[in-house]
Amino acid sequence: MRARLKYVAALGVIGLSALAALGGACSPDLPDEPYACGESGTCPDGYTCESTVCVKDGATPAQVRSMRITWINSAEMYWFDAPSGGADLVVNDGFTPGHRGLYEIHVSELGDVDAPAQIFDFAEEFPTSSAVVALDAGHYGVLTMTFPPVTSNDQDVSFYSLDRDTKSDQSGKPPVAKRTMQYLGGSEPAYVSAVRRTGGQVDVAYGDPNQGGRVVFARIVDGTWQDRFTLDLPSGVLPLSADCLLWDVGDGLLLRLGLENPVLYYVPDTATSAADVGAPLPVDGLPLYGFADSVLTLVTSDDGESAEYRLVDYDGNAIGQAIDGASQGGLEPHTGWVHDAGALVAPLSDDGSFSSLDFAYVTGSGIKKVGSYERTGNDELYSSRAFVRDGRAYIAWTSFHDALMDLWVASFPIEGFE
Amino acid sequence: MIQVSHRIAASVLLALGAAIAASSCQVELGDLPALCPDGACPEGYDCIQGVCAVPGTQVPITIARVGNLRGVDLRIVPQSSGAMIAWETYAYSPDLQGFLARRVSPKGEASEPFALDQTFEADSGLLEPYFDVLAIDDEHALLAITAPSVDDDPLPRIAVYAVDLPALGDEALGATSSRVGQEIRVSTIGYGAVSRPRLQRGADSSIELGYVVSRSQAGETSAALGVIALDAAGKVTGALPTCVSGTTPDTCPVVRAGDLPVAVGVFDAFDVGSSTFWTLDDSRPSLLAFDTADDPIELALPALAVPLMADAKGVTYLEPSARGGAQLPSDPVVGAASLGRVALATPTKTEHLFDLPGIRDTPRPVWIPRAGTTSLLVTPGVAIDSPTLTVFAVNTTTGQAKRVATIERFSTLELGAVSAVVVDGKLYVTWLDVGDDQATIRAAVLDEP
Repeated sequence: MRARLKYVAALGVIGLSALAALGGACSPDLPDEPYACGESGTCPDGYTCESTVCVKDGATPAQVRSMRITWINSAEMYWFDAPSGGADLVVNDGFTPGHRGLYEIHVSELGDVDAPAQIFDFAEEFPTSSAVVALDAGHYGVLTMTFPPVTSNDQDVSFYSLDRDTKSDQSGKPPVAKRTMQYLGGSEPAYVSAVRRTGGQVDVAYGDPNQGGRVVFARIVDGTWQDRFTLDLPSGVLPLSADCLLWDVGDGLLLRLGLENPVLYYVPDTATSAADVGAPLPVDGLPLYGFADSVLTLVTSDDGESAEYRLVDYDGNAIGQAIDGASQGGLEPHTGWVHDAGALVAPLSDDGSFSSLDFAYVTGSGIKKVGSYERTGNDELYSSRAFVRDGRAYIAWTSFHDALMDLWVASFPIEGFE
Repeated sequence: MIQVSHRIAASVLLALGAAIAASSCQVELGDLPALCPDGACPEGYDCIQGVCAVPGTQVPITIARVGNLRGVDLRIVPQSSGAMIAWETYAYSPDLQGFLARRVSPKGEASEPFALDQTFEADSGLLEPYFDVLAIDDEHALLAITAPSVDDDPLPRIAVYAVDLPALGDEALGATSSRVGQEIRVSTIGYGAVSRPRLQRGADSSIELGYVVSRSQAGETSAALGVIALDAAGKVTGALPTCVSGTTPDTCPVVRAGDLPVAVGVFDAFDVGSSTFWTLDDSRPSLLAFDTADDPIELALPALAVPLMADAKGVTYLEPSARGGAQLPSDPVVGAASLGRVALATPTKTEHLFDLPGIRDTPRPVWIPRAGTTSLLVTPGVAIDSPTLTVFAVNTTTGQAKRVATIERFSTLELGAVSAVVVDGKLYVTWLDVGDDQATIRAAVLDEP
């Protein structure tokens, strides 16, 4: 926590003094959530700082603004079963100066939202891209790509095993493995991806922008990093835009590669070289989740105000009924989140303001809406991720507020879906 | 300490003030008790630059409050009388994408804000645009903007706008802007590889726009400097540089070879006789110079060095104090700063000239060369949250650095940027106070030391 004298520090002191004075003769009528309490955590008597907001003791907010940050990338929000019950949300605050790192937010099975706990301090000048998986009930696997400090020209890719019960910074832990490439500049590393497979191994993919650019595939088995092979970038994917996103499709992986015009590859588990990876799949729109024979894609209108969630086969042919809905210009669902044999996809809404945050369950054969949350506020959305466990839905979303971003978390009972 | 925005704090104070008045609560007011948007202050205080203050206090001018602002997006441009402070609002902000400005007069009065341009379209989810602004005269300016794509073509864009500025004193009338020609699409190696543009006026009044082009060809990644020649109306004169147009053979100077990163921007330029020398990147800087045969020579400088002055024989640079901690821009710095020099004849050899007082690299120190006398150096010194900015007069012949002025910030928020110019005997300084939920652009005007 940084202690700093504000420009209006005198004013703040007066505010406290005045509140103290008013405690005797004056009684201002304050609402349940009167102030932001920020890093200092200071609130009036009778209020407690909960997730950056002073909340009246005994009050339970329906939704919690867990973080106000500069930006959280749409790729870097992850839900997991919490070992103690409920759910754990992990996010990468990659852009807030002095606060860059991974944060875990525990949400109990009753819906209580804990304050964010920094579990990995990136302490970097630039954002660090990351992918998080649950290695087991007690450990996260974290893949990172970091730009170097000014004293180095090495761009590192590292894989860490972090204890889940520590709830504190573990950036001092040595990585399980590290790979290094030359730093070429840019504003932030491309997205990296990791997916835990049946059997426990973790498949990873990341872009190396050197020599024209390539995707590097590797596998972590029993804590050991195994290099697999590399795939040269296709002509439409630029070296610093080689964002990677993997989905487990049973006997292989689907790789979404690229930023502006991503392409989709099927990568069989038996592949040992790029020659074993076929041509990009002819799928229109933005792939949001992959299955053994199908892909969920998002097609947005030219004006960015409407969206169609469409299930297609690997040849691009539609499967079943699509879901139509609203969209917003800055909205990036990015990916569905695994749930049983399918995935939950958020946010959907029939309302352009997204006052109703809906989410859908998609499998290889169809898609349907299964939950909805009426949010308070109408800030424009950036991204969202939904999660369901033991009859309770958990939803996290980021929205723009002034020139900053808010991370919100809500949970509620859900019926008729498990 | 209650941490609230200025606006919320002010409203709370007003409410509390009313309650205090109603109930006879007694509190001690400090030196700067409140904002005074309507000019009203408690008895014994004057409203100075929008803040209730003890009479006579030199309160910084508040130029603008924004949600966040990159340090490179704060500029100050000389005018015939006063200076124009320019900044950017981002597409994801409530103000949407825009390039705004306010003038500051020699008396320290800020004009109404006006938009240099609000028509440029940016993608709110991608890298924020970079810009540079060059005043042609008091009523005309060029605005160069570089940004990622907003369509399916992944190539970034270069756009030049001609801006008709309001006459001095008529800022409330606003400015008008129009894009000159089409946007130029330029090669890139991908996300983030958008060069910061630099507009530079040459000795013959020509105008040049520098841009670092990055490219990936046949398994090779490289960069070249494209210099686009413009006229005073912003129109491209002659052919585009080959690295910008993509034509072959490519005659642009190759830059950033070896271990230097290639996805970088242009940070400064020096008019050196018949040539312009260009500073590339700020963290691992290099200077692209030209010898007497007009052949390019790239001088690699120490990490975080700031080129200060260039001539036909070489460049003098400031090497800030060493970063400590995790080597972050916000980390403490240790030791002295120094002046150094690299000669074109020995481009890989740096020469230590003199030690200077401790100076951090972030915010980037401001250097104002002055003909026939000392240069001015504006910096917070070693502390990123220094409550003051110090102005040194530096003799580059002897290395003497004399403190000649101090600017009180009345803040220990971290500094995000400092910029300054000298115009007609006045030193105009602007800086960025960075808070948790907003950044504030402030300024001060003082007699030229």
